[in-house]
Amino acid sequence: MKLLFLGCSYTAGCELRDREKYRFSTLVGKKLNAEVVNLARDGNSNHAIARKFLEQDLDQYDMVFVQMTRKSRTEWHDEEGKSLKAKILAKMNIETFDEYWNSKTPDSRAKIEYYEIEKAKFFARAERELKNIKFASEEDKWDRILTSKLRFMATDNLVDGKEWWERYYDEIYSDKYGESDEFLFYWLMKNKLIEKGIRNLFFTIEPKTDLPFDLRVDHPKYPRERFSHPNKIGHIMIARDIMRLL
Amino acid sequence: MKIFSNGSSFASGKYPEYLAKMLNADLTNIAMPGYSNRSVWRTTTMRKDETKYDLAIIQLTSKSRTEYFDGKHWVEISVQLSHERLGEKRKLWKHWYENMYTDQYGDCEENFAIEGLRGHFAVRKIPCIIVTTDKYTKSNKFDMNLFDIDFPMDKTNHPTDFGHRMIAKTLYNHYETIISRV
Repeated sequence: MKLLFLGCSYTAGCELRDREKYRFSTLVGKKLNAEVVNLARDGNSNHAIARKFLEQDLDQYDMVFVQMTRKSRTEWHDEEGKSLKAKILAKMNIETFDEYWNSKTPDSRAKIEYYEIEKAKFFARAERELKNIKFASEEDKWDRILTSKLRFMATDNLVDGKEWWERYYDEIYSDKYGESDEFLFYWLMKNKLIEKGIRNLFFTIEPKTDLPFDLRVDHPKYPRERFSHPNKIGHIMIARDIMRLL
Repeated sequence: MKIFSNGSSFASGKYPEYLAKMLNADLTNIAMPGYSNRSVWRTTTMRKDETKYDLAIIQLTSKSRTEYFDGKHWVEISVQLSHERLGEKRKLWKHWYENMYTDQYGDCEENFAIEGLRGHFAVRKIPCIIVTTDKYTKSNKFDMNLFDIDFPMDKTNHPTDFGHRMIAKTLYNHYETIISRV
């Protein structure tokens, strides 16, 4: 038996110490004694999820699990790779470091000298990333755009001094567009799976949706890590709820 | 027999009507000039219409076109940036096409529309013919590229009335072949 999982950071296992071992896709695979292919990626949009979905040979899978995400997210194809550099530069500031620092445990933060060490490490890591920018694959050219932080919209495409994507969300994007985007991608994937007779479940983390999702993987009953992703117990609970749905 | 048609300016011309006459069918045609592939996909699949059509004929268009909702209306965007509602946003879309849009993005959007529409009709068991007017498409998922037909065009580069009759005739001649495939 072979299972396919698609989604964003929730399905990728973001914030888990050992993602591949503890994420819910692995746990479901173990319970079903099945091979698991997990193509989820942090920051994925529904656009990216549907694109990856269409790239797969679906006939090899017995079940497909699609976790859809916030409808405002999107992606674009960054041929020149300007956005990679722009995103690293955008996070090289003290506010972003403080955000990172606040994600540490209170015990770690209590040691004042530790703050300086972590700060140095943080900026050194960003400097290294900046020096070593390269596309590992065609997939890397798809730049993920999220609205949760301005730095996630940085692409070095400035119009009148303002980032293009900031202006897009200010002046062009609307909830109605997001709703249609979500509807189109949901039914594109759902209809394809129905047509092929492949068993499937659809999950979401979008709070405002009218679509018939099977499970909300961001439900508050699932315990979370600092950046709101499910923790190890959360993943166990999600896996258990998925098994109940099967 | 009932036929559903959608598409951009080509399909909002006469060929769907001529084809419907040839097949002695009732036609529902919701095509609009300027529609993008996303508009065609959206207006087809979000339409509340439970009619059991016997055939759907969809005409997709240039893959670089897109759309957005301005709070009141859906606004069609094409590289000409000619939509009257664009206003101040023309500058943003100009930047998009000049600096950010790529063929890979367009190919991806085109593929979404084809697959989304095919799936929509497949689960409803409605035979579907999807043609395109994108001369340079790389997709092999279309049943026909209308520009493969050597039809006469008017000053606006659209088929003349005779051209629409030629398109309808070609679609009619291909009907059985295409239907046996879908």
